Amino acid sequence: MYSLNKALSAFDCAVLRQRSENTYELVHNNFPWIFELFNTSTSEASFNFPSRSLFLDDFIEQAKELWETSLDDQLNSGIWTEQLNKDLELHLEAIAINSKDEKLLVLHNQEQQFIQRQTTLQSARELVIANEVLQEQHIHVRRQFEKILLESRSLGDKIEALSDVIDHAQFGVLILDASMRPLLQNPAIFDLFDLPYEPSSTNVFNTLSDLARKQYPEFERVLSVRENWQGELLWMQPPFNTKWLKVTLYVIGDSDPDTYHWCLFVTDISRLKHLQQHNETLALHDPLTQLPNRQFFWRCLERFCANPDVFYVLYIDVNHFKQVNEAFGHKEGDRLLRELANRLKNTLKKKDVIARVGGDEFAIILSDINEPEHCQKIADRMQKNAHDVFTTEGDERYYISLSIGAVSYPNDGKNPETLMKYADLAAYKAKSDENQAVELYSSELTQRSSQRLTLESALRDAVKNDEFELMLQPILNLTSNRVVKAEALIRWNHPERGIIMPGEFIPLAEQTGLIVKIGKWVIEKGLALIQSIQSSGFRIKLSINLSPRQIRDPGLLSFVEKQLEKTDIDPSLLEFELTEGTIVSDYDTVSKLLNLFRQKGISVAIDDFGTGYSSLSYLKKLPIDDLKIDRSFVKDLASDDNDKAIVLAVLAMAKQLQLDVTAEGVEDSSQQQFLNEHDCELGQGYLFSQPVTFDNFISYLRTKN
Amino acid sequence: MIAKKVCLLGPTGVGKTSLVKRFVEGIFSEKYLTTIGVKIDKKTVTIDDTEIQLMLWDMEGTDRYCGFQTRYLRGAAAYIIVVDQTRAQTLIEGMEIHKLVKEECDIPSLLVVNKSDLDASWHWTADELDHYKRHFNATAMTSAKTGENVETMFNDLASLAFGSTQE
Repeated sequence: MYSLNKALSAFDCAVLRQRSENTYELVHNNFPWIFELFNTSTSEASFNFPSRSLFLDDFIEQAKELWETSLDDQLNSGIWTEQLNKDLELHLEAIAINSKDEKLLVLHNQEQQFIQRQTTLQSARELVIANEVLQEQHIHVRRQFEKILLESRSLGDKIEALSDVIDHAQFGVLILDASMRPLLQNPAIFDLFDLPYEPSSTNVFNTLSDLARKQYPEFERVLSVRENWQGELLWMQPPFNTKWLKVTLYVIGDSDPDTYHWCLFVTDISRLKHLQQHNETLALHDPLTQLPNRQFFWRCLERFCANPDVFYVLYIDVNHFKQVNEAFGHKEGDRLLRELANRLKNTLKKKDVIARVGGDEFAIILSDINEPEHCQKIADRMQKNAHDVFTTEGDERYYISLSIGAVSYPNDGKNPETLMKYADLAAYKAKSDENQAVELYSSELTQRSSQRLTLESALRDAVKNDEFELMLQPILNLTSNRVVKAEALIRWNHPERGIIMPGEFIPLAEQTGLIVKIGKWVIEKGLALIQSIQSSGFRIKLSINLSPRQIRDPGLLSFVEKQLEKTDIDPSLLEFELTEGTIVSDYDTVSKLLNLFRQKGISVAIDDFGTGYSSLSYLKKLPIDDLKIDRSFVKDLASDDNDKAIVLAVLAMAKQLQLDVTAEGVEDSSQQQFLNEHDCELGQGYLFSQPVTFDNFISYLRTKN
Repeated sequence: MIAKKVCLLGPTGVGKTSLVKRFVEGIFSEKYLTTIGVKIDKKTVTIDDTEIQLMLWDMEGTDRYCGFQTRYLRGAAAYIIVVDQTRAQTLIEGMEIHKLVKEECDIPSLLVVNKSDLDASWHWTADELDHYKRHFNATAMTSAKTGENVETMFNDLASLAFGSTQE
C-alpha cells in the first residue's frame, strides 16, 4: 500500500473505497478539495453521499450498478465542472473501479486536460461555426441570385434586384456576365482590396483571377469547364497588408447568355487563419480525416521538387460523393471520407505523403518510384480498396469509385504548380471516362484540353449558326415489323469538318452547359417533325434524349409545355429518354419531373439499360414506360450465354413491372429471332434502318406501315 | 421540494450555456466559450403552486469532436434541443440528436430555436419548420442575448418535466 500511495501521489487525485452503501473511506488523498466536495472537515477520513455535487451523486448510482456485478471493470464519468463556491471551480473526472471485491472510486482533478481540451476545441469550433455561418450566408445570397437571374425580366430590372441583395451581403460579391465582364460588384469587395468603389472597374476580378491562377493550378480548367469552385487565396500588398480570402465561384444559369452568369463571393478569413495558426495541428491538418491539409501538402511538394529524385503525384477525386451526402446525409459523407482516408493511407509507404486537398479530393506523393507501371499498380490497389463496400451507421451498404490522375516528376513537370495542374487534368480525364479509373498524364492531355477549347468555341458558333440536324431512327414492333416509334438523333454539320457524331460533342456540350440550349433546339425541332410526320398521314411517337444537365434546368418543364401548346401536339406522341446515371445523379429532381411528365401524358424510357447502377428500386418508384436494353448486351446475343441471361432477366423483370422493352442495336436476324422468341416487343438497329433524314424516314414508313 | 433533472442538448455554438446563464444568473456574454464535458446549474421555479428545483445539465455540444453521450440522460425528466436560426445545419444535427434520445428514453422534449435577436439566415421555410416542430412536445423561439422568451421557455420545460412524472 505504501508504494501504491507513493505512485498515486504523482496524480492529482483522491481514492475512496466503499464501506457501506453510501459511506466511503479515504484510501489516498493529497488535495484539500475532496473535503469541500463532501462538505466535511479535513480530519474526516470517511465521506457520505449525497455529496455537494449533483453530477457525482448521479454517477455514484451508475457506479453501484457496476459494483453489484462481479466483473473486474471500470466506469468513467467524463469531465464535469463543479463550482463549489465563487472562487473554486473544479474540472473533475470520476472513475468507478471493481477489482477483486474492492469497490473503488477515484476522483481525478482534470484541470490541465480541461484547459488543453478547451484551448484546442475553442479554436476548432470557432472555425467550424464561422465556416458554417459563411456557407449559410453564401447559400442564402446564391438562392436569391438564382431566383432573380433565372426570372424572365429585363436585365435592368435584374440588376436592380441583385443590387438590393448584394448591398446587404456581409462579404464581397462580384457578378460577371458570360464573357466574364463585371456586371455588378458590391462596395464590400472593393473594401477587401482597399480599393475605391468603382462599379465598372475590372481591377478586383483581375486581381482575384491572377491570384487563383497562381495559387490553384486547376483554376484554369475549372473556368473552362464551368465548374463551381472554392479556394483560399493569400493576397499580399507589401509592406503591411496580408489577407487570406475565401473565394467561392458559382455558375448560375446555363448556356443562354441572358441567364448564364459567374458569381464570386469573397470573404476575409484572415481571423480564421490566425485562429488556425494558434494551433499548428489545425493549421496543417484536416480535422475530419486527421490527414495533412492542402497547405501541408504544398510545402511537402515544394520540398520534393527541390531534389532530383523521381516521384509521382496522384490527384484523387471521389466519384458521386454528392450522391452519398444526398442519400445518407452529411454525417455519412464525413464517415466515408474518414474511412477512405484510412484505406488510402494503408496502401502507402511510410515515406509517401497523403493529404486531403479539397472537399472530396486527396493528393498523394509516391516517393522512390521510377516506372509508370509501378505507379499504376499502386493506383489500381487504391481503386480496389475504395471499391470494397462501405457501410452506414444504419447498416446500409454502398459502393464508391475514384478518379485518379497521376503525374511524374521531373518528366511531366518540374514545379508544384505544373505537377498539380497536370495531375488534376489527368484526374478530370479519368472522371470523364468510366472505364479508365486511373489516368497517367501525357502531353496529349494538354493538347486535347486545348483542342477541347477550340471545339467548345466552334460548338458555341454552331448553336448560333443553326448547324445541327435531326435524324430519325425507326423503332419497330418485332412481331408485326411495323414502325411504332422513332428516336430523334442529333448530328452536327460542321462547316469545315463535315458531320460530327454526338459522341464527340455531346459530352462537351454537357460540361459547358450548352446542352440546355441544344436540348431545347432538339425538342423544338422534334415536335416540328412529329407535326410533319402527322401531316404525312402517320401517327408515330418520337423519343428524345434528355441529359443530366437538362434535367437540372428549372426551365425545362415550362419550355416543353409551351412547345406542346404551340404545336398542339398530343403529348402521348412524345417520349423522353434518360440514362440510369441521370436518374441516380439527382433522384429527387428526376422523380418530381418525371411525375409531372406523366401527368401531361408524356412517356419516359430508360436508355442504355443495364450499363448503369445496379440499384433497381427506382424502377418501381418512378413513372417509367419503357426500358431500352443497351446494344452491348444485344451485340453477341446469339453466342454469349451471359448476354442471353441478362436480356432474359430484363425481359422477365419488365414483364413483372409491366414495362415495354426495346432492344437497341439489333443488327442481324439471329438477334431478332432470339428477341421474338422471348417476347421482346420492340427493336431498333441497323437491321431495320440506320438513323435517316426526315424524307427517308417517311419513305421507310411508307414501305413498312 | 421536487427536483427535476433536465438536459440541454444540441450542436456546438447554438447557445446552450448562454441560455442557462441568462436563466440562472440573468447575464449574457458576447464571447463564445466552448463547454467541455458537463456543468450542472440549479434554479427553482414554481409551477401550479408547486416549487420545482430544475437541475439543468448543460452538455458539451455534439459535433465531430464530441459524440452524443446518452448515459447522461439517465434520470432526466425532460430535455431541450437547442438550435441556431442562423445555421441551417444545426436543425439537421439537432434532429439527429433528438432521434438518438428517443431511441434511449421516452421523456418530453422541447425544441428551442435560439438567437432570435439575429436575422434568420437559414433556408428553412415555415412549413419545413412546422414539420420538424411536430416531433416535439413544445417549441420556443429564444434569445439568450436579449432574454426574450428564456424564462417562459424554462418554465415550459419545468411544466413538461413535472407533467411527465405526474402522469
